[in-house]
Amino acid sequence: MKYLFKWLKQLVDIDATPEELAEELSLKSVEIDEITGFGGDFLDTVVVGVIKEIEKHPNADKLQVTKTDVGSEVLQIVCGAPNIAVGQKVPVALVGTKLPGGEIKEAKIRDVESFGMLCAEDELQLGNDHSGILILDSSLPVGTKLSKIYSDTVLEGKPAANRGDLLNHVGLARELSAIYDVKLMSGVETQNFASLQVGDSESVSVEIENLEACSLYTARLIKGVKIGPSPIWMQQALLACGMKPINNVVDVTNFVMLEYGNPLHAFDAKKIPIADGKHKIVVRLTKSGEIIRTLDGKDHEIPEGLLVIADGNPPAGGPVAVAGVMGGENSEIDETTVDIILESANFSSKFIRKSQQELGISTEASARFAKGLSRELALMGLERATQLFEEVCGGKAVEIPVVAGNLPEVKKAIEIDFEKINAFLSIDIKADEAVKILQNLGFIVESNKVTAPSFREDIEIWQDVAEEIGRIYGLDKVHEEELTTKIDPKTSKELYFEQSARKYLSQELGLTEVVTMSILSSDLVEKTMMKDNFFEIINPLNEYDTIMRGGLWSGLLKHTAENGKKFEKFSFFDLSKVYLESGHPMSGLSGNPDIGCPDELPSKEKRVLAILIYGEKDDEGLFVAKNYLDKFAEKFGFKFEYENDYSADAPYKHPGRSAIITNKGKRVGRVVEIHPVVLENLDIKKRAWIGAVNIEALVDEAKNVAAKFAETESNVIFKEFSRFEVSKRDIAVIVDENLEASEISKTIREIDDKIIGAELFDEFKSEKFGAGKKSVAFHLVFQATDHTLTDQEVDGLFEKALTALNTKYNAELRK
Amino acid sequence: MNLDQLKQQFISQLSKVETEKDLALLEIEFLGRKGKLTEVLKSLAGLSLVEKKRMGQAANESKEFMEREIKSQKSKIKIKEYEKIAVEEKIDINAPVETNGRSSLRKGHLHPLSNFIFKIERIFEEMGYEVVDGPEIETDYYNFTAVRIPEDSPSRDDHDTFYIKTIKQESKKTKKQEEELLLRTQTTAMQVRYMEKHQPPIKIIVPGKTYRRDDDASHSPMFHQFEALVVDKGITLGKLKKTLSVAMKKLLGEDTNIRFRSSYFPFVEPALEVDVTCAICKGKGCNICKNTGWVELLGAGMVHPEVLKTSGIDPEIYSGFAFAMGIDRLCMMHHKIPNIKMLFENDIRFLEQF
Repeated sequence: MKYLFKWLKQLVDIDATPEELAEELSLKSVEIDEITGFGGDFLDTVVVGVIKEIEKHPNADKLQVTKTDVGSEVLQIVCGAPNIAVGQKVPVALVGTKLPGGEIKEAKIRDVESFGMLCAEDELQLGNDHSGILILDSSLPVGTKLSKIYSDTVLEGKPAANRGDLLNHVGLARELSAIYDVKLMSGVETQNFASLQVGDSESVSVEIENLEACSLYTARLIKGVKIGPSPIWMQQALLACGMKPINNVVDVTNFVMLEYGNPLHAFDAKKIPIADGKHKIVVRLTKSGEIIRTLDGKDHEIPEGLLVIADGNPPAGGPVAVAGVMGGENSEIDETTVDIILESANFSSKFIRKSQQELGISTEASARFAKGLSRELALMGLERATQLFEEVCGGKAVEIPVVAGNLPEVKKAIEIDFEKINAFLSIDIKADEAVKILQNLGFIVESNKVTAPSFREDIEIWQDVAEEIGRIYGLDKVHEEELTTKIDPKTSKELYFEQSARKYLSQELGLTEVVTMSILSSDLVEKTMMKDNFFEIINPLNEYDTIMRGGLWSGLLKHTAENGKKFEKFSFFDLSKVYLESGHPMSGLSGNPDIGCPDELPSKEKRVLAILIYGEKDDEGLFVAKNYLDKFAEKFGFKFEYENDYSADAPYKHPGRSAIITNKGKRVGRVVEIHPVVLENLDIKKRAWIGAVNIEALVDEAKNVAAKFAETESNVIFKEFSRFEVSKRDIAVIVDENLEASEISKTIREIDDKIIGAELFDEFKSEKFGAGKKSVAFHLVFQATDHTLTDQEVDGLFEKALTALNTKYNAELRK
Repeated sequence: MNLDQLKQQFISQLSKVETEKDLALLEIEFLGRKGKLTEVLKSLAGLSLVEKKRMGQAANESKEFMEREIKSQKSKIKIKEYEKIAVEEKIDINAPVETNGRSSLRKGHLHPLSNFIFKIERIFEEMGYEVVDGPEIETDYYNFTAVRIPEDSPSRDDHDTFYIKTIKQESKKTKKQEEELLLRTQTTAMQVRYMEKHQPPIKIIVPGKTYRRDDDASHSPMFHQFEALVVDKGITLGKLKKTLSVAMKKLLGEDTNIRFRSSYFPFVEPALEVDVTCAICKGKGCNICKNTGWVELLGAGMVHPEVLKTSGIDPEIYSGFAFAMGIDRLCMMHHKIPNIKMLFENDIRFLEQF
C-alpha cells in the first residue's frame, strides 16, 4: 500500500518528516519499506504563470500567442490549446525543462518566437487530461514551482495480515494520531450512517442470497452526474498511489477506497434492469456456465460457486460484476451515464480469495477484501463517496441508501486490568496514558471495560488490547527480566549421537559431510534405481522434484556425479532423515515420539548415516568402505559383522559385492558397490561404494557419545571458486622413499594457484628406481578462475610443477 | 488394427528383445514418426469428434505404456549385460584385504550448517533448554490450524506450502483439510505437538528442516529454522526480551543489541519482529541494513492463549513466549556465502573451505 505524506497530514496534523514518520510506523504499526518521491524532477522548472495577453497567431488559425507573467519576467509563448483566457493561472514549463515528452527549447513556431510551454495535465504526468491547458487555482502565487504544489512523498508499506483496516489513509492516520497523540482532523471520523436501517430504497432493491459470502450490501442511487475528468488533486492522489485515473465517477470510487479502505463500485443505473418498479440487484453464487466480460475487456467463463453481483431480472439475470474483484462491461460507466448506483458492500475474504484464485485476477479491490474488512468500512465508504459524487460529479443523492444484510454490531467489551497488562508487558505505563492511547485508536474505555471500534476485527481478548498499548507506548520501554524457569532437560541421546558421529566422521575419519535435499527428482530416482520412496509432493515446484527420499543414496550419487567431473577421488558422509511409511521394516523400530515419529502420522522419519567412497581401486573400494564403518563402530562401541549378500534383490547394487551389516545379531545396514548400470546412468566414470547404517537401531548401545553440544570455532570467509572447466594430467615421479606423499601433494598445490588438486593414486618401491627410492603418482587438476585453460597452458603448468619438485626434492619424472 | 491389438503385438515382441540394439529398433517400429501407433491414429481420421477425443486419450495411454515398458526393458537388458560380474567380480567381504589406510590421509570437513546448528544447540543448552526434534512431514493441523492459521486465513498466503501424499495414494484430496499431509513450513508446527504431551514448565528449542515452495538466490525449497518455546507461570515480555538479548549476544557477538518492532503472527500476542545490530556497520548504517543500523532477524511474541488452550494448557495460569529464526541465512552471513544454493550443492570446492 502506498501512503501519501501530504494526504496523511490532511487527516492528522503532525509535525514530522516523512523519514521520522516511517521510522515510528515501522516500529509501532506498519513496516515502511520504501520512501519515494512522486512528481517528476522536471516540476522544479515548471512554474505558475498568469496569462496577461492573448493574440491570434498571424500564420496559423489554431495557434495563439500569449504574454505570460512567470514572476521574474513576462514571456511570449505560443499555445495551441483552445481553453485559455487572460487572467488564468497556468503551468509554464520554462526553457530547459526536460518534460517526459521532450526538452523545452526556445523555438520559432511559424515565424513567431516562443519561450516556454503552457502545459496540459498529461504533459506533466499529473493526470490523463489532454483536452486543454491545466488551469490552476487562481490563489496560487505567480512563480511558484509546481514541484511545491504537486509533488508528494510516498511511503510504501505492507500492513499485517490481520490489519485490513490499515489499507487506507484514514486507518493509518488514526495510528499516527495514537503514536503522536494528536487528534484526527474534524470530519474525518464519519458517523452519519448511525441512522441507517435495513431495507430497499424507492428505486433500488438488493437481495443477498448468501450471507456468509456477503454480510452487508449497501447501494445508493445518485442522479444526474456529469461524466468527465476528475479534479486534478484527485487524479494526482490516484496516480501517486499507483492507480490510473479513468473518469470522475470511477475515480471517486477509487479515491474513497484509498481514503477509507472499502472498495466501491459504480454501476450505470440504466444498465441495471428494472423489475417490479426497482433496479434489482442480486448478490449470489454463480451457477455453472455463466459468463462475464470484465472491465479489462476479457471474457471469463465463471466457475460455479463464485460470488457475483447479478441483475435481478429474469430470465437473463446475468452477472454484472465479479463481486469485490472487477466490474462487468455490461454495466460500465461511460460518457452517456447520467444516473449511477453506487455499491459499498462487505464481501467475505474466503469467497474473494476463491474468486482471485479461480479467475486468476487480483485487483486493488480484491486484495483488500481478501485480507478481510469490517462492515463499518463499507458504511464509511458509502457516506464519503456520496458526498464526493455531489461535490465532484455534480450528482444528487435523491433517496436514502438501500441496505441489505447485517449492519455492524457493537463489539463486546473486554475487561482489562492495567496492572496485569503492565506486568505482562514488563512496562510501567500509567493508566491514564494507556487510556489515551486506546481512545486515540478509536476504543471506548469505561473504567476497566474496553470496547474496540467495530472496524478492528483483530481485537478479541485482553492480550490484544495489551498489544495495542504496548506497541504505541513503545516496545523499547519493555524492561528486561531474568527468566527463572528451570527444567530438567531430557534432550534425546539420538541428537547427541548425531553430533558425535558427525564430528568423528569429519574430524577424525577424514570424510566430508554433505547436506543433501530431502526432495528428490523423479529422474534421479529412476537413474539410481532406488525404489524405496514412499511419499510424493502433490504440488511440486517443477515436474521433476516430486519425491521425498526414502534413502540417502540417490542424493549422494547425484553429488558424486557432479564432483566426479572434477575430482578423481573423494569420500562423503550424509547423516540425515529419510521418510518411511508405517510398516516399513526400518520404521518398525521403537519410534521415539519426541524424535519425529508421532504414532498418528503415516510417515516415519528415521536418521540414517550413509558413507560414500569414490575413486578407490576397483577391488578395494568395498574394503575401504568397510574399514570406515569398522572405525565408526569401534569409536562408538559397536561390533559390526558383515554377511555377504549375493542376492539380486536390489538392482542398484553390484550382485557380487554387497554385504549386510549386523550389530550383535541385529541387522543395522548394508555396504555395497553401486551397480555399473547406475553409474552409467549418472555418467559417473569410476566405481562408487556406499555403506549405510540406521542410527536409531544403534543409538541405545552407542558409547563415547558427547553429553553436551559444542561447535568448532569457525570464522572462515567463503572464497568464490572458479566454475570454468578443469583439466587433468597425471604425474609420476621418483623420490626418496622417506618423503611423505602428502607433503609432495601440498608442495604441488602451492606451486601455482591454477593447480587446484594433486591426489595421490599410486605409490610403490622398486629396485629399478635405485636403493631408498620410490615412485609416487598423482592426479593433477588444473583450473583458472577467469577462463578455461588451453592445452599449452596446462603443459606449461605441468613443467612448472616438475621443475619445482626437481629443485625441492630432487625428484625425477618416471618414464 | 486397433489399439488393443497393437498393444498385444508390442508386448509379445518386447518379451523377445534381448539387446539394446533390437530394443531401439522396436521403439522405432512402434513409436517412431512413421511407426505403428501413428498408423493406427491415422485410421481414426473419419471418426466423430467425441470418438476422436476418447481414442486420442487411449492412444496417449498406450504410448506412455510402451515408453515405460521400453525403459524398464532397457535397464533389464543393461543389467543382464552385466550379469557376469556377479561371478567374475565377486568379493568376499570378510577376506583379509589391507586397504593401507590411504583414505585416512585426507582431511574431512563438517558442513558449515551442521557446525552452526551445534552452536545454536550449545548456546541454548547452556541456557537450560531441552533440544527437541519434530516431524518434517506434518499435518495441516499442527502446521496451521492449531497455531491459529485456519484454512481460509490470509496468513497462509505467506506460506507457499508443499502438500504430500503417499506414492500409492490415488486421489489427491480424500481427507479433511486438517489431516492433509504437508512439509512443515515452520518449526512452529512443533509447538502444539510438544505442549500436548508435556505440562509446564516447558523450555525447549526445536531445530530442523522446513520447506516452502520458493526457489531463487536467497530461497531454497528446503531450509533450516529453529523454534524456542518457554511456558511457565509468570512468563512476561520482559523475560523474552532478556532471553533474546542474551542469546543474540552469544550467537552473534557481544556488541549485538536487539530491538522489538510490532508485528503479526497469528500464534503469538503481542507479536514482534526482532531486529539485531547490523553486523556489517555495527549499527552505524550501511547498504546491507538500508542505513537503519538494524537487520531483521526473527519473529517472536507471547504465546497466544488459544494456542495454549488448544494444547491443553490453562492460559489463566500459564503464559509463554516463543521465537523462531532461519538458520541458513545466519550461517551464510557468518561465512559470507552469497547464495543459499551453495549450501546444498555440495561442491567439494565449497565444502573443503570449512
